[in-house]
Amino acid sequence: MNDKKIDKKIRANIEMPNVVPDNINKIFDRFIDENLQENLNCNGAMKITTTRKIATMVASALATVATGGVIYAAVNGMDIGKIFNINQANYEKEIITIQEEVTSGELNVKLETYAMDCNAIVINYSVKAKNNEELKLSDVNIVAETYVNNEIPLKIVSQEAFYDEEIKGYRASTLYAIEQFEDTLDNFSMDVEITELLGKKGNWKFNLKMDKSKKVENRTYFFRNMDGYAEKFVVKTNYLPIAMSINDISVSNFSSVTNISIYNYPFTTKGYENNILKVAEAAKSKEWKEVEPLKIEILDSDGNLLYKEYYNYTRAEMSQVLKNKKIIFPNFSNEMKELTFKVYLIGADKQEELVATKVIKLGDEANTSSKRFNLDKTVKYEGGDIEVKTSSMWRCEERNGHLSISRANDFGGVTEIQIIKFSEEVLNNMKSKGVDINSEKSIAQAVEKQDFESENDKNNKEKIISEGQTKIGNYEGYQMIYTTELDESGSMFFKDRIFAFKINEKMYLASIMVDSSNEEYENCREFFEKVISSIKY
Amino acid sequence: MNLNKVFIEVINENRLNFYRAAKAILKNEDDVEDAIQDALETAYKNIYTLKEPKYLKTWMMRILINKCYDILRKKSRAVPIESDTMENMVEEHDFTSKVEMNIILDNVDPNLREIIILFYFNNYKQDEIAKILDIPKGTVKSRLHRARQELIYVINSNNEWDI
Repeated sequence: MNDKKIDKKIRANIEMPNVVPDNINKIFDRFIDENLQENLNCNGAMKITTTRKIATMVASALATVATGGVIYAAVNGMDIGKIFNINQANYEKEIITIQEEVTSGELNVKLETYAMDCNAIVINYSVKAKNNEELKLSDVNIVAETYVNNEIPLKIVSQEAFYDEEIKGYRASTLYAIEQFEDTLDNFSMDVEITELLGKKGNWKFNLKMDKSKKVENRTYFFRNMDGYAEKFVVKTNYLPIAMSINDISVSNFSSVTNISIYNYPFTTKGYENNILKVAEAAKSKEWKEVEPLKIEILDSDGNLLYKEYYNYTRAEMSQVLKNKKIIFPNFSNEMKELTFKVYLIGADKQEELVATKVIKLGDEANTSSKRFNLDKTVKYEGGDIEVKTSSMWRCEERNGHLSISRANDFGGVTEIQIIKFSEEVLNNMKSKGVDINSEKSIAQAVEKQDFESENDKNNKEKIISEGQTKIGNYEGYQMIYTTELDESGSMFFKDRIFAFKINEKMYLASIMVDSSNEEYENCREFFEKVISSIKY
Repeated sequence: MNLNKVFIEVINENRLNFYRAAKAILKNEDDVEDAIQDALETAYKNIYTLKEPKYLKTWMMRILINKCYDILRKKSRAVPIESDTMENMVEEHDFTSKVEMNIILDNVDPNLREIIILFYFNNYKQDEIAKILDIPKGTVKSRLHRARQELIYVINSNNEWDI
């Protein structure tokens, strides 16, 4: 019998799951709904269909040129700060001149300048007729496909264009949000392929290699609970309530970006949770798909308006998330202790009704990021005959013979501290493999070896960073810190710190493992030591 | 190319493959959920590191397998892996085939498990397996040869079937 026939027969004799259970399908569905579907709708072909009336643009441009007070006016004639709702003065400091020209079809396009911070990039073009005749167009729309580092599609968040008498042509600017690339700004390039400009088809390609020296730091606030989800607040509407959550805010040189989510009501309204029949019934109502205009405002702690936007929401078919929305607004001082989000429902008579207010605390005392390392909770590890202090912001549970203290971290993974009192069974198992079960060093080294071997992939690279006898709190023991790289680039790795020690002559192991984030490891280093120091028999 | 669209397609076309792989390694349904959830999030977060979108499927499978081992290693410190396997084998499940799949995996050389999962359970081609495990195709062939011999032995021991 040849190999193919043997393989066929082997497959026929292996019983395995042939359907994906509902609980697993729900994970896939939710992930697609929350992360991909929305982005598919807006990131995909990146057809920007907004068309603005030239007359309005000309008027605003003339006003700007006439005042001539801002540096940017001399370059491009537009008050970018007002147009894109960013900090004009700080934006001007970041402007980099390019002056790269591409001619295609009837148009000559020059990428003149750009400016970027950690959250946003503004690219400014001038557009003239190839034959240098005066250009008159009826459409100021820009259609472009943009990719970061050759493959990540990026959509234009906002764009603007106007006629400039001086060049007998047009000036156009586009704004992109780039806060998702914060970690990779050292190696950031953008390919912009404009396929339609001001109503004219063509192909104008530009590549921007970012200046590393221009990279600036940002500060980010996360508003998530232990499960990694932001707190939802209810927004009243004319039909059934919807809900919103403020997920995070990143503040950089000239812009702030916040990601908010807007949820369908059945998944947030009491009595409807997971009740698909009720949801289906509600969806039959004619009000279900009605468009209701909302206004979203962001105010600083002095009541100054930082951002205002009108938004017509409609309920999606049956999905949980109606919209993931990215809002760009001017940067604000780190002295600011809170921001207020207000949502108004606009009535038929244009009257505004305040339907939700959410105050976001930004100060250290109010921010959960500082509370997450406070030892404000005591938990018992029954199987280990000890009690431990930890933070109420971490999830604690005793399972599979160990105490697990974990939380969703800010980097998309889970950070877990484990405390284990080794059972006789585990110790005997180790002993049978030649481990000296009375030696902390021997135990720690055995655990490290087992960790690496359990990955079962010889291509992974393991590196011991440090090891040795040490003292944490009142406990003497043996500590090892090591990483396991899972790919060639080193961007995916586990970082482990294990500490074998004895309490009342019984062997324990405390460990912390972080997935692919050195920053998270550093954040939790002190907390790990505080937790161990707090252990009481 | 729209990467989000490709991402959705890869997820939808490989749900069963992802589930089978995670289930084969982890057995415990809660752990399988955690591994799949973590793998999706990690892939989404790191997608910009992927040089060729056409390798998304194999890249995601590799992430998933690593997540499964990540969970295993966390559990293995507290409970010997052998005991863990036995404990999970007596869990109640909504399909009967799982035990057979796990019996096979528990009785073969641990170094061959991934090959068996990917080739026999998920029907991946040899070059795809080479990509997922980041090993030469020749190594896939030789491991597959050994896996075949072991599978014949294990299945013969458990069945009347005889090759």
